[in-house]
Amino acid sequence: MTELWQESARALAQKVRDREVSALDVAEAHLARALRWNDHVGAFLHLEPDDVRRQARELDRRVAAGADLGPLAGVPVAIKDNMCVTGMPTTCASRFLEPYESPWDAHAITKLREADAILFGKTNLDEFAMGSSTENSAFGPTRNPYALDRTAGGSSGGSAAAVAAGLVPLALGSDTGGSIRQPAAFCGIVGLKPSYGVVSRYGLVAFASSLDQIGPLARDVDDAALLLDVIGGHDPRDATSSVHSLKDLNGDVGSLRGMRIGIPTEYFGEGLAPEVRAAVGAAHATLTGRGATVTEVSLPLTKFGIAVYYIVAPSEASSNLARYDGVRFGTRGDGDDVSSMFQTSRGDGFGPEVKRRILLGTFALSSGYYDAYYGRAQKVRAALRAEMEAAFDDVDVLLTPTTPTVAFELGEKAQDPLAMYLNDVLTVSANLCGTPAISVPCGRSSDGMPIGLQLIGPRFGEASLLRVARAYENAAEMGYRWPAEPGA
Amino acid sequence: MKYRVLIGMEVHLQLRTKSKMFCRCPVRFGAPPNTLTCPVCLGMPGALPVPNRDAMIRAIALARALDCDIATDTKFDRKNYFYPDLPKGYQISQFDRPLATGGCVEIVTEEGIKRIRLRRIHIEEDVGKNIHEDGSKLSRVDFNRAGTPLVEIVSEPDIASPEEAHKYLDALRAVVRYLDISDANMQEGNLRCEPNVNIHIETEDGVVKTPIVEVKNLNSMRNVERAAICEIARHQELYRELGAKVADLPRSTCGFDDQTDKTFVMRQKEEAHDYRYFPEPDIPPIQIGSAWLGTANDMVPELPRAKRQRFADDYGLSAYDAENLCRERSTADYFETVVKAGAAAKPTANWLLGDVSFHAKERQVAIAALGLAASRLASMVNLVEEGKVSRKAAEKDLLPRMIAEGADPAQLVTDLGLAQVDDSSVLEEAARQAIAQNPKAAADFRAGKEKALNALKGLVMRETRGKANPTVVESVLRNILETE
Ligand SMILES: [Zn+2]
Repeated sequence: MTELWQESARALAQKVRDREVSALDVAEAHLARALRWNDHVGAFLHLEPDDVRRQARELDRRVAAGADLGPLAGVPVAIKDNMCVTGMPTTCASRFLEPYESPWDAHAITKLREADAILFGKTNLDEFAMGSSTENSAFGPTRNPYALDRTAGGSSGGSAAAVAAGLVPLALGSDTGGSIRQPAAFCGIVGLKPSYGVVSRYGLVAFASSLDQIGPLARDVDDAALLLDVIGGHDPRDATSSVHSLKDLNGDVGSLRGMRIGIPTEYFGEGLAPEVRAAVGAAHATLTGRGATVTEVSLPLTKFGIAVYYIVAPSEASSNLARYDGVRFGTRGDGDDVSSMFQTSRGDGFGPEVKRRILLGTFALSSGYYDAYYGRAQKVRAALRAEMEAAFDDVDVLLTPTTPTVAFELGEKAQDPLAMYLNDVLTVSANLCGTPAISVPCGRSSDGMPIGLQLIGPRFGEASLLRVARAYENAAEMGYRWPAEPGA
Repeated sequence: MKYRVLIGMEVHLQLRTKSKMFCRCPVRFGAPPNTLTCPVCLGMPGALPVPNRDAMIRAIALARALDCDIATDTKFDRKNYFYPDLPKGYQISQFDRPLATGGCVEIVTEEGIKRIRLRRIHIEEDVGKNIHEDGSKLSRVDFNRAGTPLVEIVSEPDIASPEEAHKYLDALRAVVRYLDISDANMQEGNLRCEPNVNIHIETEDGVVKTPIVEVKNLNSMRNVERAAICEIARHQELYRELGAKVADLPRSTCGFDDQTDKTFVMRQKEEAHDYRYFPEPDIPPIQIGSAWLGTANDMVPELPRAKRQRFADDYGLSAYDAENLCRERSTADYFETVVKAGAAAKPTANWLLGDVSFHAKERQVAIAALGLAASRLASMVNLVEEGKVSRKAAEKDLLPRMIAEGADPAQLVTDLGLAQVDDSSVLEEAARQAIAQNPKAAADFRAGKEKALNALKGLVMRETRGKANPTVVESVLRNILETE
């Protein structure tokens, strides 16, 4: 028999609506599992069982009163701890914000509440979402449920691990350079970064404003689409929020006949692990079998993606993180005057990776260096975007690996920032170009670690992107492989 | 020393909008600290700015009124620096694609109209206020003002004297008040200005330019003028000391102490900040389309310049009177209402700029806000012009009561017995009495001393207790003295 914690979000919401189970039953099933697993994986920074039960009971009262229920009725959803949620801390995994509780909800959270979801807890991340392994969390790393000595990826590592291990069916992550897709790939689940502007950033603590995007993590494509449907849509409080409305996210699978899939050769270069190459190669065959045509395309500017990303993102971050000065909220350091108070607040509050990026960004924006760094990066970014847009004249989606390798060991790259940065090489283009991209599981390595394939669509092409992802998922028939019980 | 003064002016103007520049908090002065704030203007994690359309349109209207070139594509940028009153650690401003460029402010000088060219106009947000308590190590910050829309207006260094600096601000303020987009009050800080001053000295070896000094903390137009005078003197002094080497001094920032009437150097420009400007990623670039331009155009009324010209042409007023009447739009409008109610233009202008203006200043209100009905003032002006009441009586007995009680001037004339005596038979007798009382004055006048007539006029006025019409008195006296 399928346990409640193994169910999809769709099935859980249906059961709650049909009064087959209570929201409290659903909550308890997930709480039991989360409380047992969290010590081993470090997925949650904040998990308050009584608060979860209170929300579930409240929903059950509404069910009893015959209220109309939302699409996520009773579904526990974990939230990356860089989104503002009232009644919970919002720490961004930073010492600086350790005491901070937001007095208001992020737009995505308001949408979750309106959809009758249960806000299950806040998940671990690299401090301020800066990292690719969750090792930059001030409160300890998240471990991969499939190998506890390995990373769950980052920066949305907590959300990915929680979904993968069945602690929640759905989670919100944020993706600035791959932070949803890479952990999804490492943990064997689905992670979607929507087009820039599809999900309001209001209430997402900014890392790099022109790249950040909130998106869903789920165990299958339909659940990811369901969550995207709930959180997407125009929000007047975010000036970069798109008025474009997404349609047909939950279309049927059908055939892929006529669908043109492009394989950008630049994504299959040096450094790609043979097992990853093979798994993604097999995926071509699967998709061709579904009627799609697969052609090679070339995106020669791809190789500049990482360089552009590591100028644009730290530059914006250096400015976005200036508000953490100790004056209005968070940790205030000691100091004889204002300037030393700023210094101790920030010096003690931020971890080394955050400081590194603030320094990088401050340098790149400095007078005399702006043209050579930020200015030039913006020009290359525009060229990259033009190249990507042109590619979509000929193909409907691009198919690439999500990561060059499977999940690496904790500590393996922690002392080598550059090696860590290169992990984002396959994912940053989608952020720089504002296009949607999804990571879907496409097999396992010989040592049992998940491998992800990435599909990239044109801006606001979420519907066709999800259609291909769903078709692949169906055809590949991999099923979901649960991780072994920890300590077993 | 032969030298030329160059002053460029940076003016920050707080726009009077319902809400702040990037959030929905109300813009209001004097509320308890931090009560007009929200996550956006407090710079809380996750908050995002959304530009205020109304503020944009007001700024565009100002740019229109000053004949600027309005950008079709503009954008916001971040100006990064740390200060406790700056909630986000950056100010949202505009760097390389300002809202408008070019344009000018016209001032009236002795040589005629002078155009002070403008460099640019851009929009930004105001900061909060640090409050330091005397004798305490504690500082507090009030963010009520943070996020208030500001327009920065930067002029070319076309202002050639401290007096012109004052006139520039006066003229700019007049345009702003005509548009009704800001209170533009320097004392309340909704108009702040920083003059950039230097002098170009002509020497035998060419022109020596003193380093530009920016003067801050000026809270009145008079202080702007005084600070500029002070700086010009200091620059001359520096040249006397250093000669041509003065040009090598760094740019600096000065403050002004209005107690001592002196400027003082605050910092040299080498220590200046690197603001690390970059495009504000939270706000997409903005296209200024015909809808916004149309709305802004509709906000631009007849401006002081055009109104002055029309007043001179249509009403035959002097340039001086026209300028003074047109300084405040409400005064100009009031003037026209009085004239429409039947009063002659010139005496109306005299009354408004004289006695009425005096009462308005005393009550610290605009002329139009005195509560003086235009029709009543018109009727008073006419009574005086028609010789039915003396100017003095109107000034002393009518106007104050009309303002204080809203009284009708014609009624007052009757009630107070102020009607002027212009019956020449009544006045003739008084005139003969006066001549009899002062035969010397009569003789002097007959001998050609015109002034001697005044003594006789005075006697008649005294006799009639001021009610005699002075014009009639004079003609009656002349008639007797010249014909008898
Ligand atoms: Zn506000």
